[in-house]
Amino acid sequence: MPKIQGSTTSDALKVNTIYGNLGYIAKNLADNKPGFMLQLVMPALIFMFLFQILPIFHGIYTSLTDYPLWQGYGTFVGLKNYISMLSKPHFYTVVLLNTVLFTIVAVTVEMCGGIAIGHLFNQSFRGEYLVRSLLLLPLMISRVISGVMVRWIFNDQYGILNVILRWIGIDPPSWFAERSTAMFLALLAEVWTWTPWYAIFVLAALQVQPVSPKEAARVDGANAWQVFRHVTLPFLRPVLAVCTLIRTFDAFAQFDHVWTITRGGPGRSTELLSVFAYKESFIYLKMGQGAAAGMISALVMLIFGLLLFRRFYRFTYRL
Amino acid sequence: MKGYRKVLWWTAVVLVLSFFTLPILWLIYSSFKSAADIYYAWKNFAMTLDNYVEIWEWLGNLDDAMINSAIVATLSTIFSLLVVMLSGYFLARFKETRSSKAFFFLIYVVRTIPIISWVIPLYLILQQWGLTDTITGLLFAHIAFHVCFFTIVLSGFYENIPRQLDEAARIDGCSRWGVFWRIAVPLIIPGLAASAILNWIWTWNEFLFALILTGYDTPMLTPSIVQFVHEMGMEWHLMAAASTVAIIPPIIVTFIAQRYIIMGYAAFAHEKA
Repeated sequence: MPKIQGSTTSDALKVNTIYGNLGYIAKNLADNKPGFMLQLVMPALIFMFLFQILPIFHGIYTSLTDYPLWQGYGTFVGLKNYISMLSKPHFYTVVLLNTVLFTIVAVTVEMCGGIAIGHLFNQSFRGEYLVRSLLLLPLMISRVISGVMVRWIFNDQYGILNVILRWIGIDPPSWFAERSTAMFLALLAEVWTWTPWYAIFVLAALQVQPVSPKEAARVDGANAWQVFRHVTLPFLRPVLAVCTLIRTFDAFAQFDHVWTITRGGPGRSTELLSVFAYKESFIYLKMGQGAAAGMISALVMLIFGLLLFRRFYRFTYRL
Repeated sequence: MKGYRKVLWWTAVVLVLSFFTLPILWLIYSSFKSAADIYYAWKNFAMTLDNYVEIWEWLGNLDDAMINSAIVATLSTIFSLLVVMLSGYFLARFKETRSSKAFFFLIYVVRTIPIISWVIPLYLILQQWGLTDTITGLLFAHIAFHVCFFTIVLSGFYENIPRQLDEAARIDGCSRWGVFWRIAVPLIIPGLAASAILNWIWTWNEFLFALILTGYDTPMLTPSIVQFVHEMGMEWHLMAAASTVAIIPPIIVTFIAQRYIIMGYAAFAHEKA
């Protein structure tokens, strides 16, 4: 084995004089592999532990208490929050249904749209740079602004879309007054924002796709759809899987669009789990109830995520 | 492409682009209309900058909000990159070790959990520590949230560095930290740039953390914009002006640094762009 010169005693002493004892310990740790690995991962672990994992456990505790925000402390009540939430039909027919439908519809539409747009832009043409920048814009501007924008465009009296619809001769529905149309607007904002996310990944993948399998399929007499279905789609699968998983987590937890567009209204009919949790906590000031809703949504996503972990790992590393 | 196919293709491109850009243009256009004109779609009107003057005078804290958002975005970019630079290297270089796999599993599991589930209890914890309504508290939440995504992004960049480089440097007498600072980090500078850009823009745009963890003393940009719509009636002209101000940085960055943004996203899926 060759002697590694970087770890001589004199070197360690030099570090010692500069940084004091701490530097000496750090240097010694870095000399062996586990110590170095620990140093690399420690800051990330500290931040995640203090500000994500610790709050989750605190959330489990809070969800078992009756905790009015103004009171500043909670009294232990056991599973009361969960029982009162899960025994109301509102939770199933509105909150849970909205969340699941919202996630499924948003992710599906975005994926199909993204694949189509990725294919559309997969060639070199003049103004390519400009076109791609324009495509990226929805992804880069704030969810709050896209939400507010949808609100403005669909405004019942003055919204430009209603003006155009009336001009064509269609009587526009009052978008924010019904559950289905209000939900549609939230979905529209979501799709508008996130379709480019898929488009970019698909485009990046298509540009490194080898040409020969496609040509071979063509020579064998496959038509365009068959080439897409049996050659391109399997090639895109890892990218799509990774994107879809992350997108599903985010769509399930979506808050910004629904909050800015409908605020859960009309009534409480367009609440998603996250909006429900927020309202219970900070509008009705029942922190225990809000934390319980948060824990339910965490549990659902945790189970979903754990079931698909192996896939995510395999596809990330192309194993 | 020839003839009608080309026409068809351009039509599709124009349709797609108008779907994605016309709403933004309409918002910007609306911000130049006066309070009276904004309710008329077609009426001729004089371009005015009154809205921009008004958002500054009327809502005195908008410039505070912008400065706060910029500060949080910048600090969160610096600190989370420092954290993620290390953890990304850990994930990429020690991929085969069990601890690295466990770390990957951990960030994945934490990422599955919706933000709202941990940010409500985080509010209570920060309240006990006296950190609600401060920039520090908000900063911590942002750094923690960014660990997952950017660890994977940067590990995508680190993995492209051939390991022979590391080994050569080790044999020539470089310490492990020396390899990291002198070889790995300089080679992923494009990756750091991409992550920095995405990180800054995301923090600038973030809403839920800002809504829950800050309040009157530290106004943030995104909750301020929402205020124009809800609590003060419907001040559409002011809302449009404030939104336009808020989308200036993302638009500039998208046009200047498009390559890096795409590179950053692609690295997340371990795809070479």
